[in-house]
Amino acid sequence: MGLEKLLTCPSIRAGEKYRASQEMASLEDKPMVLTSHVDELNAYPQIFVPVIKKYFRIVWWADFENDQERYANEIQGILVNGGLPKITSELLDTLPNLKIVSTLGVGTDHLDLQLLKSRGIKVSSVPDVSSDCVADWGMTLLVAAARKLPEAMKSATDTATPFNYNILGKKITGSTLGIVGLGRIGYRIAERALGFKMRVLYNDITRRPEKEAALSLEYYSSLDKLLPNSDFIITVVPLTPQTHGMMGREQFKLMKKSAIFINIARAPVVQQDELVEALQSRTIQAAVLDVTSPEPLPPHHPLLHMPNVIITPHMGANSLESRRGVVEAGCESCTAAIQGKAIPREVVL
Amino acid sequence: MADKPLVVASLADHELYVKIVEEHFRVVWWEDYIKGPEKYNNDIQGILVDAYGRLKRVDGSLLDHLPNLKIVSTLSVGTDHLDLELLFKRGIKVSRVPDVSSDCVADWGITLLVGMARRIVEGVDSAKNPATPFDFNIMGKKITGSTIGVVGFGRIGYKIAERAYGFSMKVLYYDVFRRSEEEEKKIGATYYSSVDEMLPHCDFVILIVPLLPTTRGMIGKKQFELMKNSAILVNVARAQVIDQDALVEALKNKTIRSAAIDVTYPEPLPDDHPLRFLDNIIITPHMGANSEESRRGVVVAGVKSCIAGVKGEPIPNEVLPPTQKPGKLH
Repeated sequence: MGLEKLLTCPSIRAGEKYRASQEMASLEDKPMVLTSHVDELNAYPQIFVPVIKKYFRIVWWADFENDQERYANEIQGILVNGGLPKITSELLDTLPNLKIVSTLGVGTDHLDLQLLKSRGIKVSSVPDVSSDCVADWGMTLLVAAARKLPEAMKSATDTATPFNYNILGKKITGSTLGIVGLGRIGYRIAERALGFKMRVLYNDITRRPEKEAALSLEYYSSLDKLLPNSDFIITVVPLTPQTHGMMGREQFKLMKKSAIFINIARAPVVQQDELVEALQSRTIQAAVLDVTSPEPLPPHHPLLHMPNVIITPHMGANSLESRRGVVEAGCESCTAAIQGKAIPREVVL
Repeated sequence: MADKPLVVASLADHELYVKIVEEHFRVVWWEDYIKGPEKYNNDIQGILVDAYGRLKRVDGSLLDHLPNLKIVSTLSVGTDHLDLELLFKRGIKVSRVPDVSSDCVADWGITLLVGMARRIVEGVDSAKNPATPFDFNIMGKKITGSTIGVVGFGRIGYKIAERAYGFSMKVLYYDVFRRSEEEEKKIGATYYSSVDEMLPHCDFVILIVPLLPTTRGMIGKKQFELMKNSAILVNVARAQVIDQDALVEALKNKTIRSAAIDVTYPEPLPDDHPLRFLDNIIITPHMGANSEESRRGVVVAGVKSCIAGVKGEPIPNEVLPPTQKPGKLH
């Protein structure tokens, strides 16, 4: 029944259609989930589709919109990737048998958790699979910004830019790193920073004495006291009402003029316009943003045109192993909920 | 001013160092020296040189004209741009700066490694360049838990390994000398006496050997074939440690995944060199020691040695004529 639809669906490529037709029998046993779409740049790359298909029959958003009646009653789970599909009460109204919303990532700030709780729908995330990968990325951004790697590359390879032996960067070894948010990722960043013999300070709403002792970290209960002591500041907090806009004009003023700011958390943790001001007035030396408001920034946005700003397209978890692992983990949680079993990585509402 | 000894200096950017050098010496900068060497030749007692300035090699063509030269102080780790044999023969002292920039170079080696692994240059281009689409799916290579092969385990090599260990990388190393058990244990390092035996196990290979007859061209076609297809090569040593043409082939054919090189021959590469047009390479302009602190520290140390040489006092970081087996990489 649903297979003819799959075989004619425009968002599934020819190769997948062939394989789908071969798997006809086994497909019909698998539960149905709703998810967004395939797009090599903006959504799932095609390589992850077979991972999902191990567990589920997939209803792509475009097909669901075109023919809700056909699928609505069968959909038992929603996989959310990159914030899509957006979970609204209108959507939930159409899905009487929905058991779980599984978001394929760490954050849950894009979900209306109260709404889901009120409807008795389970929620899962993937808070741990990509921790190493994101920590690697945090350090990569720190060292690349400190030592001006993008500028260096341009100098050596772009024939229009002079070859410059004197691109001088900021010392890394022995400098001080302030980590804002010492969760899974923040802790791993501390481990890597220590390999560079950096002095590591941290601020978190919860003090973590065991972690402090393990790595000889210095705790600051106040963000404002942490900032003036740091050569690098990296924000690694979830987006909550408390962390929303936590880095603004006052915070940038408290930082050293020579300091570099790195955000791998969520864009709204930073008051973006105030960051622009701070950079333009040289209140801080440089900034690195893996997340911006919006993503992507509009072409004329000042952040895209400042030489002391590095922007990257939200790639913290982007190793193949990590991304595949996140999809796999999300599917496991979704399956468990559908089968009425204990849900790994459940977000307790 | 007349009391200060005269040195000739060829340094990459002398404005950075003028104060430090002029505190102790009268200086003729290379660009001025070559306009009228006769004015200076008899008075020059020291040469300050690094690997970046206009004077590319200190050999007979210069030394023959400097009868009162006492010391050549190179503001670098390497000495391959000096004709050491000739200098020793003529009783001219030589000094270098082997350790001030070690941390800085180690930081840079790892920066290139992680930058290439996670494709940051492409990421920045994707986000900032309006001609390139914004791409959420630029997939990099796993770093945590991967295996790094460090070729050359001297001061810098060991520091690179310490940083890699911080990423929970498994450290393998090659050197003509083996470190102590304690040093190995500290970072979980495994010794290989043969580069060829080590290469097949590595996700990342980083070169940090001095340029010697035994290390020239040590990474060539055979070594690229021994490496994993998924491996990334990083060079913060000297360009000639790699067979550069073989590197081009290996990258074109995807015999290895990618490379990040801080050194090429020549520097810079000609505009039409194939390495400029590959998409699986990072090239940077010889900047291993490029933090302000490090560069300044190197000049201070080099000047200190030069003063000692001119005064006939014991010289810090003197490079002595070889009395031991050649090939020591520390």
